[in-house]
Amino acid sequence: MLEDFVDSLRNFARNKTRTILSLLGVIIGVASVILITSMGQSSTRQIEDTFGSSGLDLVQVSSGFMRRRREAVSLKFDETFRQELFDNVRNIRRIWYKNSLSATLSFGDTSVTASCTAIEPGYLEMYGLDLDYGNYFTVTDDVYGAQKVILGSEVATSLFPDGNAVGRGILLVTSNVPFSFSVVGVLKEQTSGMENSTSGIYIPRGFYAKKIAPNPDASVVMVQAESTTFCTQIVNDITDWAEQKTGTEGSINAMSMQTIIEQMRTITQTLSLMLSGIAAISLLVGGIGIMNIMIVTVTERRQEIGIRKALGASPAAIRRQFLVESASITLLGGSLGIVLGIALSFAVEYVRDQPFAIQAGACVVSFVFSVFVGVFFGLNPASRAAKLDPVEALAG
Amino acid sequence: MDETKRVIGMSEVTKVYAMGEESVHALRGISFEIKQGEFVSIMGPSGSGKSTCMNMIGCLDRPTSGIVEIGGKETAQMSERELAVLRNKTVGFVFQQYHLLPSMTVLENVMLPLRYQNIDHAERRDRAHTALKRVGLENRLAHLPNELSGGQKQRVAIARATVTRPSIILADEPTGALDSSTGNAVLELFGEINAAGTTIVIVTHDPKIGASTKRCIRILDGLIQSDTLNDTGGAYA
Repeated sequence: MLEDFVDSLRNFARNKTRTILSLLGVIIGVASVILITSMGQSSTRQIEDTFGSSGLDLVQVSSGFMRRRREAVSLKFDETFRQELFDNVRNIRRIWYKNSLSATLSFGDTSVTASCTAIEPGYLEMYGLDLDYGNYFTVTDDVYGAQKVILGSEVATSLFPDGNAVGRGILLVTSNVPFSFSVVGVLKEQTSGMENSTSGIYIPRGFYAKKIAPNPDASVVMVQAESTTFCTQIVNDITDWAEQKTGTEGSINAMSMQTIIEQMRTITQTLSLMLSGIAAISLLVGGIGIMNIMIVTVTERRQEIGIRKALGASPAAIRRQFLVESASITLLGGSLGIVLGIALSFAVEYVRDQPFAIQAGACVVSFVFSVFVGVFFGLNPASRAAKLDPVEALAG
Repeated sequence: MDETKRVIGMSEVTKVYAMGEESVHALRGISFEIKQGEFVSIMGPSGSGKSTCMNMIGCLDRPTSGIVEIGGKETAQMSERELAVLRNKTVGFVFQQYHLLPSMTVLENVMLPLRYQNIDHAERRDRAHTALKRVGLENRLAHLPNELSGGQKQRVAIARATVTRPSIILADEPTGALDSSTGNAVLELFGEINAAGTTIVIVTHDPKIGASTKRCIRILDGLIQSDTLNDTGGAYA
């Protein structure tokens, strides 16, 4: 067996061009399987990195004001809505109300315009946004509508280049009305999905209710699920429930990070699977090429086969020799394909600035598959060789 | 000679080839036997049936009718696998065109028949080395066949034929591609091997070689024309 392998390598060395050409099909097949699965894996990882791990159990509900259907009835996100939503949709842990406003912050001569979000106490903690330093809002802050603010990391840096922001008083202007605020915390920079830990600022919703709009409707509703697995169900149930309630489609828009990630993952996986299928077909085509070259080889080496038979090689020994030879081609092709595939993946992901990821499973599967292709497509040529009549074969 | 055992037995052997519509009678009923240790030539012009006869002895082919017995075994009913074993262990081939494998070294060529016997690598090496020493090529082990002269190639082929210690060496025009002095040296080598007890059968069209062996079987048109002992000049009993 080992000697058959050594003989094969010698024959490859004698027919370099031909061997390389027949290797090419397998190399391309294996390399493309690895490249495609790697790119899929890399994209999925990139998506996950972007969304981070926080807020994955949240479903964001907003008014369907971007709707295309003009007849849709819009819903008010008031306290009644909050109770009804909680009562009618399963697996909800808690419903958080948020209001967004645009605000300009000034400290000394510096001004920054930031997207400001009015939140309920505990929201940032629940979301998993960590503080670089300072404190979160307390329930008391909310009840009294305290004029306190938590700054995103970049906002803090641009207002207070020297660092320590906590305890400083700043001016917050919204809708041309100025308020004096004090900074209580600065967020740590992190991947944060739907929230913004760098250029966003957060104020208590109690302040919003007291000074901006009494009994405000929320602009965005964050529905927290019992666990991430319920997100898709909640998105569907909320959509259905709102449709039933208003009698029109598109009155609200519900979405969750988890669902988006799942959808993207499904898309990537389907795409990977499809392209892998194409790559597998190219491997098969490569296999047919190998079968062709092996038949040529057997025809060319009739005399060698005759000599070996005269020296006492049984049909099984001849069959094994040619099977090993065709499996060696694909073994070589598979190995080179893996190296090329990994190199290409690395290059592509480096250029596209994506994380480098290789699916070990894809390497193993495509390697095993390519060797299998070699054996399978070698069967016919090998048994042709084994069946040759020794007298005719010796005559050449 | 009567006490020694029979290694080749042919009895009423015929061979018919189908060539399209026609059938060609290569052998029309040949009977002879060769005993252990004989040095025989089978002679005849091309088309006489001597090559077919050689293929029968070499277990490369099976007869249409009649009995072919090699090393005490009848070949007619044997499977390809059993024939392969017989070729491997009982017969050693030497061809006119040497038929060495060009990609293998001299040593590997000689080791090749042993590979089909599941003998371990070290022993194969030793035995091939010994066989090559016997033909005087122990310092050409790592050469490739095309680096050798014709006479050297034929000696490698003889080493390859003897390495399995067969009871029969079957040579097809072994001097046909060699000049006369090299050819004579090869024949001498056959003589030495025969002296050690191995049966040698040379198939040839060359009367000079026919005359140099102890016994000569002449074949013409698929029949035995004569079967003579050269040293006595009389007919083979």
